[in-house]
Amino acid sequence: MIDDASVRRRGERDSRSPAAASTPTVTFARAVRRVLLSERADAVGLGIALLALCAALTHESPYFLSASNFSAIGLAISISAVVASVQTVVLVSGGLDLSITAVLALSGVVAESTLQRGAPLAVAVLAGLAVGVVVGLVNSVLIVGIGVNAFIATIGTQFLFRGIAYIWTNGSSGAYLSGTSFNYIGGGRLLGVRFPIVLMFLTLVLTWFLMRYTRFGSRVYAVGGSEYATKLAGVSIWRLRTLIYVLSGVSAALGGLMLASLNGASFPQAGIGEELTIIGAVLLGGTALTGGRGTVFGTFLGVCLLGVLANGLNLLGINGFWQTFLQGAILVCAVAFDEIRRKLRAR
Amino acid sequence: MTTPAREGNGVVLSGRSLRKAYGSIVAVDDVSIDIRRGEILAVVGDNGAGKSTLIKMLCGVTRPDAGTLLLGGKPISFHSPAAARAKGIETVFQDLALVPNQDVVSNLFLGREIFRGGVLRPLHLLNRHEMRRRTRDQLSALEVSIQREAGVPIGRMSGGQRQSVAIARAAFWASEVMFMDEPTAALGVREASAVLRLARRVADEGLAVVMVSHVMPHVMEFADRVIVMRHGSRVAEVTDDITAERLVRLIVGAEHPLGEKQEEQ
Repeated sequence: MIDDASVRRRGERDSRSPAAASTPTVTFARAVRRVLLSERADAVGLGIALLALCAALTHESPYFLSASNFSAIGLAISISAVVASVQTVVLVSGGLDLSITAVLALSGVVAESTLQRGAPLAVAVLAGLAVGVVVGLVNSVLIVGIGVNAFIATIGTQFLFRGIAYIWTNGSSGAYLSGTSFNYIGGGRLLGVRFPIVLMFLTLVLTWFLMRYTRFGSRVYAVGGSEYATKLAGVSIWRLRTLIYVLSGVSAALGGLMLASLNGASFPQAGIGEELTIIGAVLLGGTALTGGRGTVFGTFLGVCLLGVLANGLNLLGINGFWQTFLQGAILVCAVAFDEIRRKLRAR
Repeated sequence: MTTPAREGNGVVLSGRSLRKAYGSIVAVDDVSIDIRRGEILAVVGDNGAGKSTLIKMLCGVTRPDAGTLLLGGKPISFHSPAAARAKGIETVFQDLALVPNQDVVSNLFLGREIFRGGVLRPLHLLNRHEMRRRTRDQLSALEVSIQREAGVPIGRMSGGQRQSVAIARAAFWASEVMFMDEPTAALGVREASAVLRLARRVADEGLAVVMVSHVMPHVMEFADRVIVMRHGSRVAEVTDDITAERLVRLIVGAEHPLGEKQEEQ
C-alpha cells in the first residue's frame, strides 16, 4: 500500500551514488554511517570509549587491571549506580527528580537515629527506605496532583528535606556506627563480593528487567514519548508517575543507607550537588532529558565511564580538579555527538 | 466482544436530540443521528458547524447537555473515551494519539497489553510474541503493508502509515463503531486514498465507520451516507446523488435541504 521509506533508509540512499557504490571506501563509509545513526550507537560508542579508557589505563598503570582495583571502582560507583539506574526510569518517563540527594542524606540520618534508639537493623533500614517513599509521594502530589513542573517541584523538595536533615541533626554528623550490624550494608561481603556492589547489580538488573520486560517499563517509555496518547489509551497517568517518583525516592534512600553504612556515620550534608552528577551519568548513557528514550544498560556504562575515569586519574596521580573538568568535557562531547546524530537521522 | 441487540437497519449507535453549548455558543442543537453497521457515514460541514462536537459526544470525549445516546437501542452514557471504548466504540483522533517512540505492536496494545500467563501473571510480564502475532494478523487482515511492525518507532513512519496504524488499532479493538476525525487532512493524494480504502475494508468487516471530513472528493467516493451540519444543526442527510456541488451548497446554506433555493442574507 504505502512503501516503507523510513528516514534512515532515505539517508542511506542519498549517500549512495551508482558509480561509487561498489568501492570499498564507500561501503565502509556507509557502514560507519549506519552504525553511527543506529539506535544502539549510544551504547556502542560508550562501550568503545570505556574499553579504550581501560586499555590506556592498563598501559599506564600496573595497578589498574586488578581485582582489588575493580572492586574499589565498583564500590566507588555503587551508590551512584543504584540511584542512576532508577533515575533512568524517571528521565525516560519525561520526569525529573532533583530531590534524590536530599533523600540520600535524610534516609541515612533517619536510619541512624532509629538505630541509636535501639531499634533492630531491619526497622532502621525500613525507616530509611520509608523516607524515600514519603519524599516520592510528596513529589508526586506536587507534580502529578497539582501539576507543578518537576524541575521546580523537586528543587523545592530538595531544600525541604535537606532542611529536615539539618534540623533533625542540628547540622552535625551522626554518631560513629562502627561495630554494628548496620555496617554490613556498606562493609559486608556476599560470596566475597563487597555488599554495595551486590546491591548495585541487584538494582541494575531489577530496573533493567522492569524496563525491558514488564508492562510498567513499556508504559514508562510510552508516557515519555507522549503522555497525551498514553492517557487516551486508558493508562492511569497519575498512578504510573506516582510509582515512578516513589521508586526514585526509594532508590535514593537505599543509596543513603549504603553511604551512611560505608562512612560509618550519617551526614546531613551528604551528597550535596551530586544529583547533577548522577543525572549527568544517565544522560551520558544515552537517555533523553525530553523522555521516551534511554536504557538502564547505557546508564550503567555512563556511570562506569565516569567511575573508571576518576579511578584512573587517581592512579596516575593527576590533580583531582581535572576529574571535574574531564567529566564535563565527556558529557559535553556526548550530548553534542548525540544531537548531531539525531539531526543527521532526521534529515 | 459482545454484540448488543440491533435495531432495524443495522443501527448500532444513535444520538437523539443531542445538544451541547459552550457558554452562550450552542455548538450542537437538537441533532439526531443513526450509525449503522457496514456503512461509512460522513459528517460534513463548515468550520464551527458542530461536526467535531457531535462526534465528541458520541465517542465519550464530551457529554451532551441534553439528549440521549442509544447503543443497540438501549440508553447509555459515556463519561470518558475509555468508557466508550469499553463498549466497543473506538476513535481515531485527528492527531492519531500514537506514541511516536514506540513501534506498531506497542501502540496497538498500549493500555491493553497481553501478559504471560501462569504463576508469573501478577508480574505483568509482556507477552511480546503474542502481541506481535496478533498485530501481524490484524495488519494483514486489513491489508496494511508495513514492512516491520516490530522495532521501528511510529515516529519514523510516513503520515499515511501512521494513519493506517491508528485505524488498524481502532478497528482491532472496536466491536461496534469506529470514528475518524479528518482522517485524510494531513495526507497526500495517494496515501489518503489508501487510508480511505482501509476504512472501507473496516466497514465491510461489519463495523460502523463514521468520518468527519472537509475533503469533498473523499466524501463522495467513500461515504455511503452523508450528514450535513450547519450552524450546529443537522441540515441534510444525503444518501444517493452525492455530488460535491450539492454538498457544498448544503454546507454553505445555498441550498435548502428540501430543494428550495435560499440565498444567504
